[in-house]
Amino acid sequence: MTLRSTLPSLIGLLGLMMLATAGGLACRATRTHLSLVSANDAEQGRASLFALVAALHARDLASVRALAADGNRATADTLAPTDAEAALQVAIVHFADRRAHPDESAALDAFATALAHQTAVHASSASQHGGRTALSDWHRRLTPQFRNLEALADRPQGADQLPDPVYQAMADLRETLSHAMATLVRNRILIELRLRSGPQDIAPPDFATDRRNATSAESGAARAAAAALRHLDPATVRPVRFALSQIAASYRPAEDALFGALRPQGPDPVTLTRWREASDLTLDRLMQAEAGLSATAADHLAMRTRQSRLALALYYGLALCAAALVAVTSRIVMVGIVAPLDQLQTRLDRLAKDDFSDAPVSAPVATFPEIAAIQAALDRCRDEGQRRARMQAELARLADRVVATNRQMTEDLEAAARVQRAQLPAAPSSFPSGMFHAFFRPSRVVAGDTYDCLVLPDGRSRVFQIDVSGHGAPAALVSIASHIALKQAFLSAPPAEPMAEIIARINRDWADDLPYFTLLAVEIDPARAVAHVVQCGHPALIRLPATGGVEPLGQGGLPIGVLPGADFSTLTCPFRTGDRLVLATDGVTETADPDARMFGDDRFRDLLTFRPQEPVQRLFDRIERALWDWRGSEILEDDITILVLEAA
Amino acid sequence: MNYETRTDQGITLLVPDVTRLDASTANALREALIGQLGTGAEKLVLDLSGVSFLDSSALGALIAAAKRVGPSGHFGVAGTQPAVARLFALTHMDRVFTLYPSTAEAIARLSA
Repeated sequence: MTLRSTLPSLIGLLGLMMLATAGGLACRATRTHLSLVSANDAEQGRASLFALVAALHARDLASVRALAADGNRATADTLAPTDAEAALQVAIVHFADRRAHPDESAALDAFATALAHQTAVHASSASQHGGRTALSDWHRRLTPQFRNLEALADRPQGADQLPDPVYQAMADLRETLSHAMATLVRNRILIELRLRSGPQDIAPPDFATDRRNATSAESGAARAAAAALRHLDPATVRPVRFALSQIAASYRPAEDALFGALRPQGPDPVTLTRWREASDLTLDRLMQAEAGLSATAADHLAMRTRQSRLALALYYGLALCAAALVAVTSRIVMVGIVAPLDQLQTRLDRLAKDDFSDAPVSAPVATFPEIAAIQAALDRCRDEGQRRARMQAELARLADRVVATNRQMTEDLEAAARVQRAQLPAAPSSFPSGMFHAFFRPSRVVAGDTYDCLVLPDGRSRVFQIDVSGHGAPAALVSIASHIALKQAFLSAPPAEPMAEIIARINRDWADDLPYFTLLAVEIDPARAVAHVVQCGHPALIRLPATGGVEPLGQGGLPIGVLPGADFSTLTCPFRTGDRLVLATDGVTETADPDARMFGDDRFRDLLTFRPQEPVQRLFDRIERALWDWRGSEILEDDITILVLEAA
Repeated sequence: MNYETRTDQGITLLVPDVTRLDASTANALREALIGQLGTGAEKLVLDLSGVSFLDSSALGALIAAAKRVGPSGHFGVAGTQPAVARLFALTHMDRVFTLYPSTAEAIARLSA
């Protein structure tokens, strides 16, 4: 379940719910609106029918009034067929518009046909037999059709209730009013006609029925008005109730008075006039009430239609907004979150793989500061990674250079060491009256220790041992330089010049800023079998006489390069067959064990005297073993040089 | 290597806090000594009473210090232990700088 699928799904779901809600509301509003429109059409159709009925009644009434005024003559004008036909046409159109029920259409057709026929018959009979007979006949034949028409105008039982109880109440009231008017008009016409034909006709069965109907209609109207009060305001209902109450209060007493005052020769003219006035007045009231109610109902329906149109616009707008919201949200989520997240994931993957090639121009598509912050952090990561990579590359290059430099320096040092070794004499080697032995263990590649064994043309030999203070390359350089200086001086000095003077000269010439060095120089004079020794800050020469024992010689002396004006003393000792002279640098006695204790002079002397006359090489081996054992390792702190001159 | 200095009657005493003065401390010792001389300490005495070993490198530092003492200045070493004293004797350092048995002796003699 990925973010990419979840977020749009959730939004889609949400959008669907919103759409469903808004759509449901819109559908309901549509249904309400359509039913309102439909109800409006139906009501207009019914109203037209009522109007038609009312028009016909009005014409009849007019005819009756005319008859009452003019005796037997009915006006052909009031029965002009064109009025009825035109009204009928309007009613038919309305019914057709609302796709009326087939029964209704059939009833309407029947009425239209009957009306047309009767109008034609009436027209001819009016001209032949006079107005009263024609009217009576016309009325008698059309009355059932009126009834049908009224029934048609009434909403059939079980028909859909109107969606609006207020309008429903108004429609009910109008229906009641229409019935009341129709009944009243028919009564008027019937009574007028019967009065014309004679008092014996005043209470025929259909008249009684009409009266009963009228009474029940009145009580129905009262009930309808009472019911309508629940939904309508009293100001709307009051004229209707007043108009309806006029039937019982004004018309009915007049009618009763008329019936009570009937005489064989005709009604009492005063009562008749009162009845007519009451009838006219009541009809007027009813018509006014109907007109007012009709206007109110039309207004109400228009208002409701406007409202429902507004609701329609609102709900469809809501649905549209929901759709737009879903679209916009989806776009924001996809462009602002999902796409940047994809990009972030890709970038993180690359960073995780140490791929910092992610160029800065990778056009972040952030629309949210949080995502932008992550992108910025990634940018920093990438920059940092690039910087690290560059640094690592630089370090690698440096390391390569260090390795190369180190190799070069090691090679240089080894070359220097070869040069230094080349300076050293072969050992063991012989010199006049003796053998020269050397044990040399530099602590590093190059050494601060050096030595030589020179044979002069006159047979004397000069051996020297040098220990430059310090270690490493500087000491080695000074070591080489001092070696050359001594060698050249010893070989080139006048034969009579004492060694100590040569050394004093070298000391004098030694550059002040160069490290000092200690020196032990021995001159073997085979002719006199003696050795002259000059000791310059160096450990003392050790003489191992052939007769045994150990004799350290000398009281020290200044190193070379410490005091420019120093002079050096010379010691002389015998050098006879079997005698050994040992020259050792301080590296021997200062070899330290792991506890930093020195090997020391005593142990060294013990080693030298342990086996007198032992071959020198084996002595060296023993010393080396002893030193390594003492030290605990073969890594030296200082160069170790031991020279042995053995008198032949 | 660390050290402390104190001045007594115009004499600067420098006391290293190590028991071995060798190649690893020679440079520090050299800088300490030359630094003291450079800041105007005319009379400088190195107290070696706590030092049991001193090698040729450290000796080089002492020689370097001795070489830098001006005509009116003075550099001395006080309180040498046997091994150090032997080295000084071997190398005739008494000709390079003055050796005193103790710092008290050095102060007494220098301030006299």
